[in-house]
Amino acid sequence: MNEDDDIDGLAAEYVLGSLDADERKAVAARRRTDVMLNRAIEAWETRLGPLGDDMPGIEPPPYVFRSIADRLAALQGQSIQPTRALFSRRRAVAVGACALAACLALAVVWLRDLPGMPTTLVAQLQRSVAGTVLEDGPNVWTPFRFEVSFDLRASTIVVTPVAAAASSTRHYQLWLIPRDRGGPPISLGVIALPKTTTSPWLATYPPDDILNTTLVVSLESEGGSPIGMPSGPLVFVGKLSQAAPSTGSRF
Amino acid sequence: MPGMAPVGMLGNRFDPQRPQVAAGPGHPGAAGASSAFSSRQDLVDALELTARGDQAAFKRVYAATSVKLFGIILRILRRRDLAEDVLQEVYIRVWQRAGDFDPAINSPVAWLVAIARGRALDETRRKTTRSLDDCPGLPQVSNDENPLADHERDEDHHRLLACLDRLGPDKREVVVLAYHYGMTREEIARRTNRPVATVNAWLRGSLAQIKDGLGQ
Repeated sequence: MNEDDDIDGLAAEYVLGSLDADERKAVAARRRTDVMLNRAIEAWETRLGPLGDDMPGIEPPPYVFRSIADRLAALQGQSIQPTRALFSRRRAVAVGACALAACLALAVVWLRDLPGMPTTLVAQLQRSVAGTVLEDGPNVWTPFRFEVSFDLRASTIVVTPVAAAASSTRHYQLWLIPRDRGGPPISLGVIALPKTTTSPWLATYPPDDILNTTLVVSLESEGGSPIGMPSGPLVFVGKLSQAAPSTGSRF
Repeated sequence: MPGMAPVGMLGNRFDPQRPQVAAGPGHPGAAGASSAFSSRQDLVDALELTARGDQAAFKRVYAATSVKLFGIILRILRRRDLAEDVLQEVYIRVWQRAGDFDPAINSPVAWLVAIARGRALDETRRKTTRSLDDCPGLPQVSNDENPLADHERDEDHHRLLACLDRLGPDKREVVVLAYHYGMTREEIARRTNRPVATVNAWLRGSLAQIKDGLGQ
């Protein structure tokens, strides 16, 4: 078996669904940089696609579409980039109309400001509309928020859950949505409830680049998303704001 | 767009406070594929409009395909709560990535199915163990059992079915268990009482045979 066969076989089994968790994860990561593998996967998706026509459908409950609409409404207030310029134009119009404050109940904390570059960026992440919809089961949810602080001098990120539900079995992962880059969300790590999580901030973005960027928290399985981007619903959102002069005020 | 059923008025953005799903008899999927689309081209058109931010078109895409995709996802995940979450993720991705769909390369349904299966497989692999018995009470099958089948069951479909037939019943079963239920080689081996190495060899051989048979 030569390498081309191996790539094609891997792609075929990836699409078919027979790879185990580690193999699937490895192929998913490799396809991002391996053009041949990615093309082979797309070709197999086309080849095997008609197989799905033979199986009966199952009607989803009505609230699924409502949840989708809610989540899209919340996302449209964020800086997640669309794939086409037309999206941008639509979104630019929508941003003004989408009552971000109403959707997200953002509250920005201004801590301090030093001459020159900011050293601390902070945000409060409030539950999004999607979180409200998804977490409506009894004994599942106690309302809480996350407070996030970027200490750019110490290169650390501190995430503090406030009033977290101790019994929660959910797992949360923090993401940064790059502003004006159109790139994928950047994982800032899995949040360890109910404790404060301190993580290194190793990225080389200048403070100005991450100022006003959006942070989101997604619901994930234990260990975090396996796909390098949020795989569960985005249930908390907030924006990073520059530390202000030492007023200590909130708004 | 000619031939499309009206689906209600939507604004320029998704507004969760507006009763978007109240226009139909139950939800967008309740209308069924046949009333939402009369041809594959209609679905292609709706995806292209979705890529331009047309929410009504997006809703038509959901109405025409959600029954099919939910069936696919639920068969792989075998848990309704997870399947509902994944279905949401799939359509959010459809909204965000509709511009990536190229009708010259793929059929609209095959493109949607690939997204749905990919997400469902990712999700099911996050669970360490499972069995075909761990899903008590799969939901009832919709009356609309095969949405889009009439216009999607094209020449490629028939050729693929012919390739599967040529595999013989045992090898075809292995392929189908993987495709429809997302079963790993080990799970298939347990299910069929065969060594993993046999299943592995059959899968690779069958897939190569399918590729040769399709001439692609």
